Amino acid sequence: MTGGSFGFQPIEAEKEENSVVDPALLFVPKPVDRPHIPLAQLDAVAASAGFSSREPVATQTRRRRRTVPKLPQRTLPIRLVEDEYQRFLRFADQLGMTYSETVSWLMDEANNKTRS
Amino acid sequence: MPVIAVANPKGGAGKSTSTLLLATHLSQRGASTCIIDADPNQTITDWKINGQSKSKLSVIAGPTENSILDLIDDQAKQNAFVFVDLEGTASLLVSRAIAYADFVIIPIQASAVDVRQAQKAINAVRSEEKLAQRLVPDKKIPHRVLLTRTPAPGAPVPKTQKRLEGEIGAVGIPRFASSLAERQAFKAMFLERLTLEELDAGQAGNLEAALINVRQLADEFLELLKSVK
Repeated sequence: MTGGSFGFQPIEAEKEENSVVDPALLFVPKPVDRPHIPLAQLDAVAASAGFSSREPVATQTRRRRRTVPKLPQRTLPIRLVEDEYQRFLRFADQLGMTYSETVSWLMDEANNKTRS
Repeated sequence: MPVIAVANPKGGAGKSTSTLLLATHLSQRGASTCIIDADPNQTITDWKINGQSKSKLSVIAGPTENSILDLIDDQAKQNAFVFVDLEGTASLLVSRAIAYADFVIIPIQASAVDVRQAQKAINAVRSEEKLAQRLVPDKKIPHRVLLTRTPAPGAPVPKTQKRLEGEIGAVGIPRFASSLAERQAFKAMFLERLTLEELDAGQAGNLEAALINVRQLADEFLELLKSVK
């Protein structure tokens, strides 16, 4: 018999209609979005606060002598934001290639990744 | 997505400890978390590579001045929280990470040397913030000083700490209400190469108090992050 002799019904535990989400889970991965400021400007401001480069000065990178290919050539004018421009130059330096060789290398790599 | 730079040009201020405690805690709560280990001592990298922790926290080692920003970009796309444990020098790697951060934590002990060096980090934050405001007028780089190696609650507070807290308040430097006490458990975390949650009581004294300490700091930190644009 439910409710006992007086007919009281047991109080159901209140359901939490809106369960509390852990604040740590409110954040998600997403690309960085901030104003583009050239590195040189960032570094100049940092210098005024006493920050300086602590890495060894890179020796002048000897880029491979560009061999003039026998095939016809064209110039590709590309405008890049400063950071991407610097990033491409650093990348070419790391590879030790000319800029045109670096572009070819990148396209080959992208092609290989697409196929695999 | 928040990128959190942990900076103090003074070595030994508690940067790696603060970073690992917060990052492993957030990871344990289910958030995807990464630490970029820019400390030349590679303390956190050693913790990850040579330890047996089952934490899902990822650690990226050895950024350079030229690679730090690309690394931050990459990791922000994959992780809810990206911490950068910075080296204890006033280098461009540190200043670039500060300029790129959504939040800067500046751990300091109650010592004059720590405070003076921390001021460099604070000046860098403010300078980079002003620079960013030329493009985005309301851009902020929120930052907080975090007192580390403080006496455990209930223990006497040294005069130097009281004076430090007073001076920080007087000059308007924002600081965390929570601090990280000097705890055996924090040392054990590095010694055993486990998270606090993975340690057992035999490996660390007063583990429960340490867990509460970190939880309080993390909760305060998450509240602050919610208001970061």
